[in-house]
Amino acid sequence: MDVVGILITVVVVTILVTIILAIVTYIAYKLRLAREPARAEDDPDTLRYFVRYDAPSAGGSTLRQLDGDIAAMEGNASQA
Amino acid sequence: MSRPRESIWQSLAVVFVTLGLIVAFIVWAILAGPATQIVIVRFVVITLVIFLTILFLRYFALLWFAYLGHAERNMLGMRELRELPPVSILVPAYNEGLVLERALTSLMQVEYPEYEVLVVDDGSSDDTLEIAARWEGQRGSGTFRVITKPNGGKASALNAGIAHSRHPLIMCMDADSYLEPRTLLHAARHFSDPAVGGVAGNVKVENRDRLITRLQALEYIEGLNMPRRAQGFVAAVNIVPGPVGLFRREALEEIGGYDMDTFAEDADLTLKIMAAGWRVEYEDQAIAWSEAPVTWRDLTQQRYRWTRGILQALRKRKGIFLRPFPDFPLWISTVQLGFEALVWPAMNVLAHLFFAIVAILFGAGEFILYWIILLTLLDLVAALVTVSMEEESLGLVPLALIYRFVFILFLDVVKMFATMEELFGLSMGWGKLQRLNEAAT
Repeated sequence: MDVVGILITVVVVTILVTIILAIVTYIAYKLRLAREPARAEDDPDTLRYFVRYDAPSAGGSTLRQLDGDIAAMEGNASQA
Repeated sequence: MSRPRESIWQSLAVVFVTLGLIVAFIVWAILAGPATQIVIVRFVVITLVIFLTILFLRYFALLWFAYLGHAERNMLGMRELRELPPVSILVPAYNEGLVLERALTSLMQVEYPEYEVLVVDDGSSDDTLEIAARWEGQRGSGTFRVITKPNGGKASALNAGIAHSRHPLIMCMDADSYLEPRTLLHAARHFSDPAVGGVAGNVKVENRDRLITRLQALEYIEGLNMPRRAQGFVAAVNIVPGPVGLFRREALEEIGGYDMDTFAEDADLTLKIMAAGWRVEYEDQAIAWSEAPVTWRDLTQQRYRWTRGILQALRKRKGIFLRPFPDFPLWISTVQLGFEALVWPAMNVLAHLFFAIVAILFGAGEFILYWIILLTLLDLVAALVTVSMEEESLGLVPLALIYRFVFILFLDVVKMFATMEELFGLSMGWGKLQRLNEAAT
């Protein structure tokens, strides 16, 4: 094979290999996306790992509610 | 931005349908009768001649206007500003803890009389906010401030930054980039012309230790900055790049800041500014160094987002394509953006594929070889001219040998699929790139 023939082979093989590699890389990129977990903030109503805490609306703060719970627990303990 | 899982399979379907159509066409062309084959070959040859003509015209027009812009700047010098207006530098950051420190260090070294740096933490889950908070206060001639907000994307972070900034000029940059000390001085001078609404800076690839990043370094010089320099000559730069862009506050306020409906907020904003009648110029000495993707997959992800983002920005302004007048620079700039995002990649891929197949099936290899040699010579000349203009390393020039029929071909395949997905309206996500901060390590 002469030099021109070798160069033609190199060019054609390079073009085809580049196109194939680009397609494979693109598919790999897409498959990687498929394996990533969806971000939680995409949908604020659907939390994947945590339960949303809603503070009590009436009767003051959460702290006051906790004070009441502790007092009740202490009362139970003294009765026991 | 939501990313429904099923869109992945739709994307793969687009890939396989495209490949199937190409293979079916090739098989049909091979099996068709001689008369049909002659028609096919004529059609393809005419298409390729048009493609080649456009390619040469585009190259020479860009080179010529880029040269004019370069010569104008060197011979006439830059406009001088009697007084340098203060500048607000916005640094939107989402999980940029690894690279933010370096960006802020570069901003401390900026040579400019008065500026403020406003870091906008976009609801990061890493230590971005803590790092930024350590920088608050007066540093040199710059004042550093930090604001934080729930995650909403880069455009929303920049809008928050614009709302909280104080100065008449606003520079937008990326947290993974860093500026040369005199970048602001060079860019701010353009605003002596009251019609200038924005100035695009010169983005350079910093991590050049691999073949893929060296090819991107050449691409930034030859493929991105050369067109920008040419467009700058007619004050119609169509993309003020995210890593370094200086804007007049009045222009940003007039257009209502960044829209949040595209993935290429920089292209979208630039087109909005131009459509509002402002001039957009290019400043090659306003340099920002940026970390380029180091894997082919990350590069694919980046270019996929760029392509679809640009198409989304163009789709919003379809009307401009039909109105070359009265704003001809806006029209030509928009048409060029559309051509290079929509038409060019597909033409380039199909042309290469056609040549390879013709060489294999019909033994027309010499024709292909001369075509490739001609284009490679053109790329070598363009690389030499543009690398010299930017006073960059001549070591990048030999990469032009594989620039077109390996690197650009690879990118054009990605762009072609991204374009098809955008045309089919498939959903997409931002796809944050992995930071390596290689310069610091």
